[in-house]
Amino acid sequence: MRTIGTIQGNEIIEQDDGSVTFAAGATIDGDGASGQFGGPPCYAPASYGGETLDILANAGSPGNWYGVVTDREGTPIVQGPGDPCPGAYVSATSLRLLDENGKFLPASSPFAYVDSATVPFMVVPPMIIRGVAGIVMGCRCVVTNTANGRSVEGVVADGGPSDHLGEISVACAKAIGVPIGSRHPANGGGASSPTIVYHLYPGTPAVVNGVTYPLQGS
Amino acid sequence: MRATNSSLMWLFGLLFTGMLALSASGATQPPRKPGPFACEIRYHFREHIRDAEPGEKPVSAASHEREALPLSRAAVASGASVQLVEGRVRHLPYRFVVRIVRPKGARQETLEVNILDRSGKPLAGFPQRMPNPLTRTGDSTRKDFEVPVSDTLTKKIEKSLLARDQFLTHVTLIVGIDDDFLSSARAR
Repeated sequence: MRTIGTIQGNEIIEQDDGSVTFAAGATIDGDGASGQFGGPPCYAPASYGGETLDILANAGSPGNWYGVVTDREGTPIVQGPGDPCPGAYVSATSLRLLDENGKFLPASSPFAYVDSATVPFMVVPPMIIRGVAGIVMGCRCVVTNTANGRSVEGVVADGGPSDHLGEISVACAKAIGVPIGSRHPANGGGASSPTIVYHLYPGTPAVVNGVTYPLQGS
Repeated sequence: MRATNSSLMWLFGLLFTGMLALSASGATQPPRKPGPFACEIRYHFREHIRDAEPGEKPVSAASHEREALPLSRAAVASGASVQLVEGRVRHLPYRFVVRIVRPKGARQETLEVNILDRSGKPLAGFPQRMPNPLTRTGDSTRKDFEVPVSDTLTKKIEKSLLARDQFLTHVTLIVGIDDDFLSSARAR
């Protein structure tokens, strides 16, 4: 057992079996949600009538779109009539999904990313991704809310800031009873106290709701 | 025996009077008071990923820094029961006034949010008043309000609050009533 490092006063431990554990609060990440499985998208233009998981300002503004998938000119891709959520933007996770031939799905496809609205996932800082031997992105994780004993199996699907620890998808928050925002679930929710225990298994592909996720080295 | 009977009569009389008094106080009882709530300011940011390859996500997931406002306190204004949060935070030149008001005899509460600049003038879009949307059950324990910040203020916040490669995306005021939110506000 060894300490990989400490972020916000919370120690990140690599266990003897190679798995990684830490306790922290929880911020909510709406990225990756594009309505691909019937849930709300993370971001959409102001003209979009439905619910979104996050405030559009978190995705950027004209001329500087950093939080949604864009074309070569930097213009956000808007889903068309044949896409799962017409009118919404495509939101990305660090984990890119593959087609049946094992190749990356096109970056502009809503199905190329992990849906925050319906898939329990967690977010990890670079310290963990670079600090262990096994591949972290796409690996199995278990997230437990010690305040109520609820636990959920998920996938490591996104990269977080270097100095923050403890972030989960909207679906993960709902599964373990972490409050979400009423207007924008990813924006107002979260757990402040370090009552969430994260356990991830680098090198072991996650299987969630019957879907096996690809391990993705950096 | 006579003494016991008279004691019993006295006891029944006392009980009857007590019940009458309770009933009367119920009739004039003031409306139920709004429960306590907490507010915090969230500075949302992302971080540029320095070594991102073409085609990879160039920024981190969004996260936030936060500053708490004082926990709400009970007050009475024009006969209405009020829970009030009033205060400032270190990184914004604003005063926040958030009230949950239950007028005398009313069943419905109102949530009032106002953000004032240094001169006492409300920011654009404020004050906001609405039927109180916060309930202790389900997914409606918190509500967010976007706080306007100028480009100059954004740069100041990035310099004083955020780490290298991080940039501010927006600022929100969160009003919440769930246990996690309240206990966090009490702890700070």
